[in-house]
Amino acid sequence: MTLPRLVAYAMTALAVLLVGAGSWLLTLGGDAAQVGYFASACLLAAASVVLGMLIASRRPTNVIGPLLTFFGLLAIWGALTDVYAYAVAHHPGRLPVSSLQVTIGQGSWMLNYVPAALLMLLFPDGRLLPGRRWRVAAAGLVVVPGAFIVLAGLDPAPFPPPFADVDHAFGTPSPALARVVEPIGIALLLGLLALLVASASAMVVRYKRATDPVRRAQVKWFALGAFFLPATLLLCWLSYLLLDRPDLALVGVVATLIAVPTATAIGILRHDLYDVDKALSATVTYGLVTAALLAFYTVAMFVAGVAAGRTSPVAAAGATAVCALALSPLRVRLQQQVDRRFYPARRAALAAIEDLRDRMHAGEAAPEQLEEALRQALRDPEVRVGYRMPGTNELVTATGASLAAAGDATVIRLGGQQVGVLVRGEATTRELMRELADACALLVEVVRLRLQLRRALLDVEASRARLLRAGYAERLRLERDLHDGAQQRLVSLGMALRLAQRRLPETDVAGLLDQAVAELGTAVAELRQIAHGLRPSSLDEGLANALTMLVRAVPLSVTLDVCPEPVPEDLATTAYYVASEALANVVKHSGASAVHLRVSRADGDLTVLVRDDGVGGARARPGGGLAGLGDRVAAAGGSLTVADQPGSGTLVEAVLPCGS
Amino acid sequence: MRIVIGEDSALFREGLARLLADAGHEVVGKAVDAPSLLAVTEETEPDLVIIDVRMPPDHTDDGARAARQIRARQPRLGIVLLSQHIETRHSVDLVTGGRFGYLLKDRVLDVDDFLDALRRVATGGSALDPEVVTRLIGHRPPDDPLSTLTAREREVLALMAQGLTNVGIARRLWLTERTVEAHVSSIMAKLGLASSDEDHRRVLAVLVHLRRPRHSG
Repeated sequence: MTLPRLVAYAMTALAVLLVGAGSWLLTLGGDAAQVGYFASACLLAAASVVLGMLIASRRPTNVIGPLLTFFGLLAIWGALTDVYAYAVAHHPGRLPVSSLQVTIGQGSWMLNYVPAALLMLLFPDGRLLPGRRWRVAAAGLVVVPGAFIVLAGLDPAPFPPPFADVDHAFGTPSPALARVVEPIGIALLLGLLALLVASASAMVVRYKRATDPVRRAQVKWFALGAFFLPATLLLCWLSYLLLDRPDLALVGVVATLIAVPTATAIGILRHDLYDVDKALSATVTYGLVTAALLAFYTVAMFVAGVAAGRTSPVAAAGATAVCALALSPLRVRLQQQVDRRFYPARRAALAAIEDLRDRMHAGEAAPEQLEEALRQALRDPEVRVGYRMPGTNELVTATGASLAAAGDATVIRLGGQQVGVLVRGEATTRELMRELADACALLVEVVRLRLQLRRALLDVEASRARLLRAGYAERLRLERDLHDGAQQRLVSLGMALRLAQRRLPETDVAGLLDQAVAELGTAVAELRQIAHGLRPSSLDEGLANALTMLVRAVPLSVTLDVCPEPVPEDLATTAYYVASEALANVVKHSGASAVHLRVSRADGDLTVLVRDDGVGGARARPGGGLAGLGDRVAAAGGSLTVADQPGSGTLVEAVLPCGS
Repeated sequence: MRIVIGEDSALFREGLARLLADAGHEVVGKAVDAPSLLAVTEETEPDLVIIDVRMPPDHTDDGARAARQIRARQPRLGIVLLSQHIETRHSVDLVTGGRFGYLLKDRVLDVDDFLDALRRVATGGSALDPEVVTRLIGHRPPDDPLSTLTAREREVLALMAQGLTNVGIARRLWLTERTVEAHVSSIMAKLGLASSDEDHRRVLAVLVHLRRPRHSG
């Protein structure tokens, strides 16, 4: 077992013994107030002891654990000495009184500051900062209280009751020595004050030197607990101001006894559990508000007191009213100022979300930029925003890429439904993430719906393109089947009939056969027309060839300008239909005398352009040829434009992506 | 004539073979794909090869490619390509070389015209499917020289382009040979083509003219 852990356990055992001893003393006959006092003190101190032991068991080599236990042990010791003094006072002679213990007890209050100051010096890793002055400070924290206890014991005045007639264990100093006791005591007190300031500055140095966000968070947690030490002094002032007694300081002592061990334990063990910046900011704000309030109250009481007499109820009421008026706006202002100083991440992140929302309304930004905005505001490049696709458990990024299920994610909810997650980085706490998750829920919902819509559209586009391709493939298959199957069979049948006809003399039957073959010839020609309509075989020889053939069949003067490069089969088919339908329209409706057909390829697009010099007036009507053409072009991922200038002809232009 | 048939459909191949035998020709070889067609043609040295454009192994234009190879190896051999559909580019290229025919498959049903076309090709002439010729003549702008032809002259021009001789044209149109000759020289003059006594050269000139781009713009 490591030494720090051993010491922590030993002190815990000692604390149990002390509690036992105190309980025994109370059984001798203590009143309810004494029992309550001791029980509360032990309970409060138990927090330090238990948390100290917890740290010692989790971090066995860290001296923070035993220090915290010591912090609690001293509190129990203080309560025990009070109970002991009470018992001695009420049962004189029944209890042994040690002159050494009484003598040492005179200055031992100074020991109470030692564990807190050492914690400030050693937190969080249990090692001193490098440098001689920190070692001197640590040594001073042992030497100065020791010297002070000896010095206090040398005070020749009788001890306070009930130990007034107890001997001074260190004897009574010579008159020469007695003269310097008081100045040395004051010097030691100032020394302690300097040591406390030095210890506090160790915390600041550590915070400034730390680059690691974890270390910074830890120091901040501890600072939160340590804040209650000066806060207690503030309460002391308040107490004397209001009550002329130090009773209110008790509240500060209690708060310190809880806050120091709690903040220390959280800092060491679970610094990421809560948002330290938020807690620190709130604590500092309320501390400052209280201080400002006290200052107000003091001044107001003074002014009112001058006017209305020292203890007038009018003065108190007036001062209270002034304070109440000042309090509310003061707190809001202060919170903003303190946030800016102590909690910049929260402020910046909330402002970034607000800003993004405003820019989105103005059409200057897209909600998909949320992740980037949060990363910049929090200065944390590891922050991620995951969007839950509706109807699934799938998490995706703003671009639709799959997001690996992150362990430490904060769920974003809207109307009770999970819409996404925030994944924090090292630099951001869970608490802040929870707050941001609420603030950005609407943005996340918008992104998620947009993602869903985009996906659905992509699906539709893909399936439309697949349908088009399947249609073309089917047409090709039918065309081949007609050529190689029915057409071929009919021709063969015709040949057989011809043979039969040649074997027959000139009879009626021969005439009938002749007629039958003629019919067959017509049937074959019709089949060829049908096959051509399904898919022009001329496309086998390329788009340019097919268009040349097409143009030859048009009863108009057509100029043809086709890029010679080969075009993918499906694309060529679509381009052919565009040209064919547009030319058919020109022939039927335009009254044009000349047509220009151009197929060109540029920037990955194939452009089919048909322009005539006719009367114009062409437009796509539902169910019409041009509308069908528009659907076909859109299914191929392209766009069709029908530009119509009455009197100067019509222009049909299809832009088709080549996919290359 | 000694004839080789390259055709993958058994029904059509055997029907054609019987038709040809019936007409007094000798079918000396049959092939079901392009490579075996090349081998058989080399081996049997026929007067004429009849080839289906689409045949194995690729089922695209294997027949047309085989025809080019045969033409390169045996330039004196007549070749007739049969197709299920109209295709102008290759067909006209090949036909302008002479000793070549390009016909739709169903032309075999007009047995006499078909046999006549075979004979022309085997003896150095050409045969181009009427459908192809119609496409070639097609629709012309008003300023095209073709539009100055009379209806009869157009008919004669079409038959010339199909590869028919004056005699053949006269028979087909129920005209005298002299009348046909008169029409022919009128056509050649109107189109600005040099007259020639040789049928093949005349066909060539006409086809070259027809294939010219129709519009200068």
